[in-house]
Amino acid sequence: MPEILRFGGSARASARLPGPSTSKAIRHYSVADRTLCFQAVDAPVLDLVHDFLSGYYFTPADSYNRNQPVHLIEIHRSAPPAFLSQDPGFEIEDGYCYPDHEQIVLVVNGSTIVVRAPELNRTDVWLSDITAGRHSLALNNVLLYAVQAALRRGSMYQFHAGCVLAPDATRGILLVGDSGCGKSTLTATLIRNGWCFLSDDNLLLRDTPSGIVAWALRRYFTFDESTLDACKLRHFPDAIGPRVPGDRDKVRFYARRAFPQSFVENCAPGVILFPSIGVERQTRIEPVKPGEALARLLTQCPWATCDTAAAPDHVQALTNLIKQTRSYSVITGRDVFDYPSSIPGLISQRIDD
Amino acid sequence: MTDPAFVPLKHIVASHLEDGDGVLVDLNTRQYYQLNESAMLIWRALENGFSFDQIVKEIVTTYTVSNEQAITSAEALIRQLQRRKLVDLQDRTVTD
Repeated sequence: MPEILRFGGSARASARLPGPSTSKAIRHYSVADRTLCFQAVDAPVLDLVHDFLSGYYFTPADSYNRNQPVHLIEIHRSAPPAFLSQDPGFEIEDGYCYPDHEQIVLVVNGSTIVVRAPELNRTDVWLSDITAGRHSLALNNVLLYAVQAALRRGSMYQFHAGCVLAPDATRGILLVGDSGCGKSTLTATLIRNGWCFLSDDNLLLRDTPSGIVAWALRRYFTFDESTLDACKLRHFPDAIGPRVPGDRDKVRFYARRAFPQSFVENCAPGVILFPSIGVERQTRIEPVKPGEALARLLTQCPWATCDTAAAPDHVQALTNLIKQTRSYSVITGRDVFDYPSSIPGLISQRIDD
Repeated sequence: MTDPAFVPLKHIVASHLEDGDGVLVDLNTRQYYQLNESAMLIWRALENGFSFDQIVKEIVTTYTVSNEQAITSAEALIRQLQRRKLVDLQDRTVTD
């Protein structure tokens, strides 16, 4: 019987083009072999951008491939232009999104972001004084939205997932799930037992002719105090950073300081794990069908259905990811805490079957 | 000569997976739909501009079902697709 197995949705204008820019300050940054150009009215604004980007694997790019299109993010300190929205828009974290054909308008923490049509390779940010002056968290939030959108225009997709590699493996294992599903604990358990890592929660997926490649995006992990204890990460005091602003239960953990030899910049994923926390004694690992796995990825990637211009390529990238991987659900048991050293072997054995 | 047929709408992105299942993403409503193998067979037939009779024939050829079962199944799915605004009845040109 042909049927729709399930359906779901993801989390939930037109702006005038700005006039000729009088901005002079420009800096380039590269990530995953691509370059973004930031332009602002003055250097202090770009210093704010630099501070934000330093938390991620963006590197200042003095030279870059001029044959490649460079996405420009221009940051204005003036009032944004008025825009009319045909679409009622939808709520996003800390703001609203108004799709408008090929472009999207985001109003986040009082600031306005207009992500232009893909062929324009341009995103404009009108930074409100409230955002810039009073709340570094709000500023980071605005810049994160702008950067993610700019990356999507370059077929690179920010992805909330951990990524680890078994010792000597060349293909990565993605850990995908909502906050609190246990992916950080699982990631920490595996790293503590000699596995390599890209990130605990923040990756960039890039669709290349040879397949999907995952890149480490954020430089630090965020762990609960309980994870630090359970995974014995307090043995690495130099790696433990400050508390996470806006989430006081979590602390930053600089895994590269603790395990410098285990960091991997990028890899091709071969397996996707969907962890969840169970109540049983033993961890269970069950296969997940490709269609179900793709549906789960779409739930985790709201922009794959919301950023209309980038959505077809974004959905295709997630489809390609499913095609090059096998998926499993991991229902973690108490053994993750009682016998953590048994978990790497259990995962390796199960996914090799 | 024209013939009315159900056609996938342009704002639907379809993902075809190797095991035959698939996912449809509606860019207007921002909803996705996970379809099983036989539903995707019908969707693919609609993408290829098949008539209803051709779709039924495709189902009977692929699966061990009677013509009546194939008609019932195809009608039910296409009705669902239409209700969710994933397909629309449009005139298409038919060549003899």
